[in-house]
Amino acid sequence: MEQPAAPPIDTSTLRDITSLVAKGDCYCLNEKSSNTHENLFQGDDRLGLVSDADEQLMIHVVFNETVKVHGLKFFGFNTGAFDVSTAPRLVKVFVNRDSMGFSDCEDVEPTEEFEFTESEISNPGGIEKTVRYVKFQRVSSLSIFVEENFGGDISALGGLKIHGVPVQGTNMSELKKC
Amino acid sequence: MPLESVLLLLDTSEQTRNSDYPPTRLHSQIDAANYLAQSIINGNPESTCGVLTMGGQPRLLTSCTDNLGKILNSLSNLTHSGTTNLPHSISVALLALKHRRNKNGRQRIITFIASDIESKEKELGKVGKMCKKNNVGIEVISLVPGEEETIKKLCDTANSNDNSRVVTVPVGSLASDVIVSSSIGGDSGGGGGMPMGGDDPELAAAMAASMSGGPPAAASGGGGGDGFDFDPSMDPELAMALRVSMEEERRRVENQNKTEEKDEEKMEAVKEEKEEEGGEDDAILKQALAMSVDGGEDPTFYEQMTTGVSDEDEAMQLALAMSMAGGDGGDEDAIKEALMGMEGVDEEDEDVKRAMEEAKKGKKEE
Repeated sequence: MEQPAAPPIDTSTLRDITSLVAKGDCYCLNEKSSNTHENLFQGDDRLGLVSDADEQLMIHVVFNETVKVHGLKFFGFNTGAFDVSTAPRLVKVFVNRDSMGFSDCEDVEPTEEFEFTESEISNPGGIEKTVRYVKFQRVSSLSIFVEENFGGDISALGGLKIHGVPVQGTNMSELKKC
Repeated sequence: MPLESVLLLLDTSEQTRNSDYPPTRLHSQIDAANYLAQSIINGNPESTCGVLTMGGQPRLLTSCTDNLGKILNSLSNLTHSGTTNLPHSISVALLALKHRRNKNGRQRIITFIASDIESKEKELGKVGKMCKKNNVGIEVISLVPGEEETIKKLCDTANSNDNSRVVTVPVGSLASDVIVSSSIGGDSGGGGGMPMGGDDPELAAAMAASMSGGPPAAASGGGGGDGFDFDPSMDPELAMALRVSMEEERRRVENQNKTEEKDEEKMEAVKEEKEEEGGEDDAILKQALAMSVDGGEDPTFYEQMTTGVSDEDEAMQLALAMSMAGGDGGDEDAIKEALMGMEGVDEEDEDVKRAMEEAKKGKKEE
């Protein structure tokens, strides 16, 4: 018996849902205090996130409503001080995990895993990676773990954009007291 | 004080029975931990604090809470046991901090070390790096002499953005006294990346100014409120205000003393001047008085007044006589003309006539 083909994804409603990120609840572990994760969402790849103690980074992104995530777009850090060796190579994404730390990454199976090539990440337009859409249907938080880079002592990331669509519901943060 | 989550690590190993820090190393820690817990929880309404003991197996007595009673209760019945495994304890503390209630704010581990560190440096370095990666600051309060280097290495590894430091308590002094005057006790600035509190330069300056006078008094007074009868940790703002106002008062009194001294000097100078002036005045006054008294009989004045007139007449007569004598047989008409030309001399004047006659007589005699 032949399985019915999965209905095609309606890409017309997909948009940049970076604006739905609850910035106050996000955090990043091992970030340098002068280049924090807040720079990721500025939309300027001359500002970016830089790691501190070693090359690993743990970026925790919280949305203020439940979303479906379709793709993630990574930008390299576009300044002369950071060459391609600091660009992330192996990135793992975890969905809806609260208080993720570095030690948890070894214990928990990642929801999605990306591996970049040097040419991909050095593309000034950024590199978009689509995720397995079925696993990202009810996302309230994403934990993006940069595990390895191309051999640099520290990692640098210029920007991050998240494409998807909000699950129709109530945006609790827009509710106001009467 | 900024929002923070703090875990207090107490060393409860058998070595802490040592009483080189009065009353014992353990009780000195408990006293300091009491003070720290109070200052943390009173510092910010959402700050939380937990307690973990390191003797034998690390035991989390209280997870991060803002209930001061719970913390004090857990601190009240501690017993000595085994030895301390510092790296293990710190990794347990990290785990406890990870599941804190409020994810905002910075994280701190305040660890007391009161026994010899038996762990390898490599393990300590590893755990220090873990702290750094997790943005956790380590603050060590050392109650053990001879381990400074190891402790410093641990702090240097964990330090990022100046959030880790060491406070060494000198043998024989009370840990809480040292902490009160250190950066851990009060507002420990820096670190955390929290854009609130501690960043106010005026406040920092005021604190620094008040601290400059504060620590010795606070240290000697057992953490008392600079001579006031209240606990500064219960109301840090009031304590700060008091310190600042005391500083201001002291400065004001100093200034006043200075100005008073200056005033006195000024007054004396003015007095002297006045006396001098008064002397002069008196002299002038006396002179004036003398003049007014005997001025009427001043001979020089009258001489001046009278000689002017008589001289003129005499000069006139002399001139006339000379001209008469000089002019060889000079006719009367010429003299008359000359006399006419002279102002204020009347031809008909008796004196003139007499002078003329005398002149004539003299001529005839010649």
